[in-house]
Amino acid sequence: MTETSTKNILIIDDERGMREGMRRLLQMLGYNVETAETGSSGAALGIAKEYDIYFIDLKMPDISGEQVLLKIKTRYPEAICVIITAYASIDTAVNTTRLGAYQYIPKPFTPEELELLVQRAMDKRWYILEARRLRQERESRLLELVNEQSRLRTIINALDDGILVVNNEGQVVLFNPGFLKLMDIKTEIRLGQHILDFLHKDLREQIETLLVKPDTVTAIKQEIVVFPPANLVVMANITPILKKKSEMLGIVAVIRDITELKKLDLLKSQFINMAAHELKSPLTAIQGYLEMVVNKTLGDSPDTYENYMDRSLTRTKALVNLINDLLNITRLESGRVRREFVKTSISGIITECFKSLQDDIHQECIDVKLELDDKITIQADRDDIYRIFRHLLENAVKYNRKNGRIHVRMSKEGHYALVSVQDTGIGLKEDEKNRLFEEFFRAKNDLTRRIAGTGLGLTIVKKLVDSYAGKIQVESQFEHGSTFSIYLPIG
Amino acid sequence: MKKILLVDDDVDLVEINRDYLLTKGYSVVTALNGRDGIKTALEEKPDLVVLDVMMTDVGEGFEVARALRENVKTRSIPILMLTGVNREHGFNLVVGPDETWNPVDEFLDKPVTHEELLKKISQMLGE
Repeated sequence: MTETSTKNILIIDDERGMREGMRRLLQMLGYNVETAETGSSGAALGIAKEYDIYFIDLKMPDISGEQVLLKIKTRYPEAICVIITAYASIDTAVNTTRLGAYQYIPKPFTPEELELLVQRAMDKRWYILEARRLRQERESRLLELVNEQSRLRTIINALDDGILVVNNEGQVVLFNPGFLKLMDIKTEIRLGQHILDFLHKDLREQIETLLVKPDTVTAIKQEIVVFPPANLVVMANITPILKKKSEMLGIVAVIRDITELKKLDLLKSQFINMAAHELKSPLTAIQGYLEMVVNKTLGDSPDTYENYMDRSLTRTKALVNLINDLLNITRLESGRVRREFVKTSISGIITECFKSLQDDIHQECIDVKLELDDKITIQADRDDIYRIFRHLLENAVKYNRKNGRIHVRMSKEGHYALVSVQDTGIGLKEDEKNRLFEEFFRAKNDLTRRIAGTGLGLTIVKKLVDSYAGKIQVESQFEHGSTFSIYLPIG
Repeated sequence: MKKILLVDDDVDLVEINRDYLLTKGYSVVTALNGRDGIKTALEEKPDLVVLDVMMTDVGEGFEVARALRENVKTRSIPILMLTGVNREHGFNLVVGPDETWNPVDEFLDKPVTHEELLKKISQMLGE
């Protein structure tokens, strides 16, 4: 843009007197004036740069003023050209305005006439320049806008969340790859396509609800199961795009992947249902036995009733254990357990566990062999370690056979203390081994039927061992026995 | 004398319900797992099956019900299912081909009193 205070004028005229006369006059008026004495040199100068006003003589010996005009207008379509003409050529001069000349001025003319003409031409020139400036400004803004849009586009495309924008007729305006992925859309979507053509029913219905009554509904949150039951579940946030709070321009749907949350949810409610079931079973048994005793359902049968009471007591104890185990699991999972890490002797704890199991060991005539090592200690919370071995050794006794054996060995394996507990009990089948640490899992067969258990003991053991960055392994042969190996880091 | 088959993995519950139903003049056969339950149903041809949902092997009870329904010989035996967590609590255990598929005639939510059990059984037997 040539926005200088001094305006440039080019005079192209072969007549020296006219040329110099105009130059003097215009210079006096404060313009910067250049001249050319032939048509061709004038055209060359006039093309080299854009002048504010061109004066072109119509009749020149080499090329005509019309030709010069055409050359300049071709180069600068907005150039202001004034044709200088003799009265004899006035028709031709008029014709030049059709070729793009701004005005013609017949010779001779007075200085006042020239001044007036130049002023008007300069005004016109100002409008042209101003218009050009505004146009350029707008164009550069448009360019900026396009850049901005492409930046936004990049951001939207990079989002993991899915975005879909439709206009108020339900036609697609914008979407990102996340949207295609989360809604499992494999067909190609064109902009302007109607959502009816491809969209998941649940999402489509919600969008249509908003399209129909934008006044009553402000936004919708909807869970959508894309792949049941919980392989791909998304949460859709559907919001109208409003102009001045009334006119609806369209709708934006933001889709978020909540599959992992749903899976956790499912696990949690499964756990609660299992727990409720496991709590109800012993209660049902106890209630049933007590009803029989209280109602004397079997008439006079003291031995049977006594057996019922014994069973009720056993089940009650099991129920208490189950509740304790449940609380322990919740406590472990909450992660808010206060632990006191002290130097702990594993052999001491194992001895202690065996003492508390002494009665059962005697009753079943189980032979216990201990190969303990007092020197192996770990940094741990004593209660945690007690719980680990109490559950393991209790299982070794409970699931053993009469006159069976239990063999406990301790050793140091690298950075770990290894404790293995071997029993000669029922053992595990191959598929049972894999499910052993599952919550509420209990191996079910005729051998285990009468043995009370919560199905949570080994779950707790595993959680505890994991919390010490330890490891638990099991080797087992069905009907021959199991060996549990615990690795705990030495500290 | 009507014959009732009790299928439950809880020995105590089998014992209690057997003892009780015997006093009420029913003949009782029992099974402690699903496989034996199906076998006993085929052999003993009971008039009614009282089936526990047996949650520890999720849905085992439903598998039994389904097997009984799919066999011509046991198809018409009414089934009463005992559940620990009933369906009103939002737990859907059905392992059938679709959600509406239901191989069971009646449900009772545990713990069940003897009166409730007896009432339901005699009602189902049309007594």
